[in-house]
Amino acid sequence: MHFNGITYSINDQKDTIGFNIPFTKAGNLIVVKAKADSIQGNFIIDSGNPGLVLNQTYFRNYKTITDAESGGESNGINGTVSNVEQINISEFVFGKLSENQLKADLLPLGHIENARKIKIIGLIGIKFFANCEVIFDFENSTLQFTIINKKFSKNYKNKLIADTNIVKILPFTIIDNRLIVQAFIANKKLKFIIDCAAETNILHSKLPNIIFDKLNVLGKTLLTGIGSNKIEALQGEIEDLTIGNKKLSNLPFIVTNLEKTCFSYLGCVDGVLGFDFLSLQKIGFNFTNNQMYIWQ
Amino acid sequence: MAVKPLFILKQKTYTQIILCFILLCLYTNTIAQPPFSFGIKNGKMIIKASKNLTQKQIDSVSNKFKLGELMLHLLIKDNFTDSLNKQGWIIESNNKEWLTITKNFESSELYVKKSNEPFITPILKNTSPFLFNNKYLINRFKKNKNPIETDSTITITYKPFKAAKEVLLAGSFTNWKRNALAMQNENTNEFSITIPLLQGKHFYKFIVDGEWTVDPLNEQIESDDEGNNNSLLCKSNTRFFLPNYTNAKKVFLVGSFNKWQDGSIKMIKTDSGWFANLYLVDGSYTYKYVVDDNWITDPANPLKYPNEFSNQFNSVKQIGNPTNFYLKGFTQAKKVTLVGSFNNFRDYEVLLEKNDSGWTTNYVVENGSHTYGFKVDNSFVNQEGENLKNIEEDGTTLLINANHTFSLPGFEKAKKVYVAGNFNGWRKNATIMKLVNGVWMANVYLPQGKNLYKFIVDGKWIIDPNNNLWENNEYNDGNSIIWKE
Repeated sequence: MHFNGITYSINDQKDTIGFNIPFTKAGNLIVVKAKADSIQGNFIIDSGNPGLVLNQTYFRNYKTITDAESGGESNGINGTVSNVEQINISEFVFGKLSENQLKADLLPLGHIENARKIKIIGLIGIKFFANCEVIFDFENSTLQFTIINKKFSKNYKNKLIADTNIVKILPFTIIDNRLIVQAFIANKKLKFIIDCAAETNILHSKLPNIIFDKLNVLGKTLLTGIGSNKIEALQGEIEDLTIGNKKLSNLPFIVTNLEKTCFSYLGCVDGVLGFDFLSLQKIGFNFTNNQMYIWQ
Repeated sequence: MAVKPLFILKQKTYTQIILCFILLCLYTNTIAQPPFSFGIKNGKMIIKASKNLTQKQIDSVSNKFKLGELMLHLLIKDNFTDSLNKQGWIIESNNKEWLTITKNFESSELYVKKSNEPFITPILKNTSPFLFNNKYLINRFKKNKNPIETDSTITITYKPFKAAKEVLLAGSFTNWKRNALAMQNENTNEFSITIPLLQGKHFYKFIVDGEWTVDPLNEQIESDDEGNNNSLLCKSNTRFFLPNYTNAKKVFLVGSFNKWQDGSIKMIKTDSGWFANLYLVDGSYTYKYVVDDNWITDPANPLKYPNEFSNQFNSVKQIGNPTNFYLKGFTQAKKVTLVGSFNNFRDYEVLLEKNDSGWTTNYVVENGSHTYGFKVDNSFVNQEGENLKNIEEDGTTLLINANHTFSLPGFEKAKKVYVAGNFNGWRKNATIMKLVNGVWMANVYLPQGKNLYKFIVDGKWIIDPNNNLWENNEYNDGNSIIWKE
């Protein structure tokens, strides 16, 4: 089966096929085994990232594609032109998903290795889940994949989500390759990026005061991004956040200024829901119909 | 006519109620105002502090909110505001009773450009305390149901939720299912088994009538490369026992192995005292017991080192083979201490004993590349007795259990070559290389995992020209990488 350049190792006649990929955790990161050309090892599942990112350390000898060759491609937000080096990979294999002749971004990921003490070959973005349903089962440390045949996607419904008392279903959108959901704090509707590689939840500092009345500040902290840049931020807990009728109490958040995190359309993002949110319950995403499942 | 007086009465009552309400509001407002608040308003961080805060309260909020660099005591008590502006804070109001300061959030570029892709690794917490480079391991079972240990054996028990016919113990020590061990059915449907086990870290699961399960009483679970969750089992090599104190409510063990974190190692009560079984990696450790918040040395252990407070001591445990340190001469000196990277260059801790020809002590040094010297009264000397200006830079080097050899060919004309990295604390003179057949070589001990290093050729720091693996560093000139399995 073949969608959008990604090959799925299943019979074309089948409507769906399911398989599980075990994951381990490095701190709060979800780590799976995958292979890029001959280099096999740990990759981080990164729903906040569009495609494949490879660690510069292990792919330094690859010839990079110039901006002109790659058409100055930018998946960035706010019209920012990418200045990231890209390389061509012959084959990428992740469970029963594989893709041939693909481009990957090359970034230094040493800071994650140093913080988590494990070798990280790269990051797997949401492009690879385009025709899948993915359920994050934290109890069994498993990603449950179902590849859904495009013809069947309208009729597909996972039996696991049949009981709406157990599972809440809510829509998500994908904007600029980011997975966006709505949630409420102090009855205010907010837009969040879902990012399972963000080790914590993040809230934009310039939201209305009424939202921060619900924040119990625990202290100052520093965020570390790629390139070891440190950004001062506040750490705290939000009393109540509601998502799909599910109320979550005392959810940890980092508050930082996200005003540069705006989309080319539909405005800016209000925050990020990361591992602190995801790991609270079983959670799933159907990328064929943009539905998110939250177990109660 | 009867209505009017009633109305007047009502009006008075209303006025009284309104007055009371206003007073109540004012009063509530006064008492509801906390003496210190830290929050966010209009997109800025805002701190409001009462000038009546005591020194203790100021220290407490400084620690709690990680505001040490603001030097709140100088700010609140002495109006010393110099450091504020440098850190980007602005005084909003400052009167006799209250100080209010605000600060804008820096604009974060997270999620903005591809070069700042979403890797947010806030230094917040370590979710798995046993994941990396820890000096100790301990069993953590619910209801204090830790496995019973002898010197060489450990007894594991399992109580199934429903009646079970067969329970097998499978673990890293049985090659999992291949040599899984049948547990004995004790009374009341409880299964147990006593097995000999090597000291250290192991993993296990139960197979209950064919179904695999983790130990429900064991709080420590780790997932393996295949994503399977396994229970973690520690066979200890060190028993800490505090006799008596059976009336105490709680006792904790604190020491250099857990960075003196009070509350992380809870001791278990017995009829005769309190105990904790730990697995400690080879090295020397200082420790104390915290008995209902009182810190005491181990009354059963005569080995003690002085600590940073005058006339106070910490108890000492040494695990592994000791190294004999001997400093020749200086027999006129009053006091000699051993000072090294292995004890964070604490110059008051390890006292040497005088004999006829010099000073000596036995000390267990952990694996690795170390630098050390001696403090003789008030001056520092190396192993040869020569004076040292900077013991960390120029001290004597010591290597325990080498497991790797660095080599650098092609610099035959260099005069001095060193290798520095995380394994020797990046101390530039800690590991000198020797020229052997045109190749500079040095043996080192590398810890498991990622190791960063550079060579220093006649004072110039270079990455390893023969190693393709390197990453950038804060100086933009790269560090070479070796992964040690």
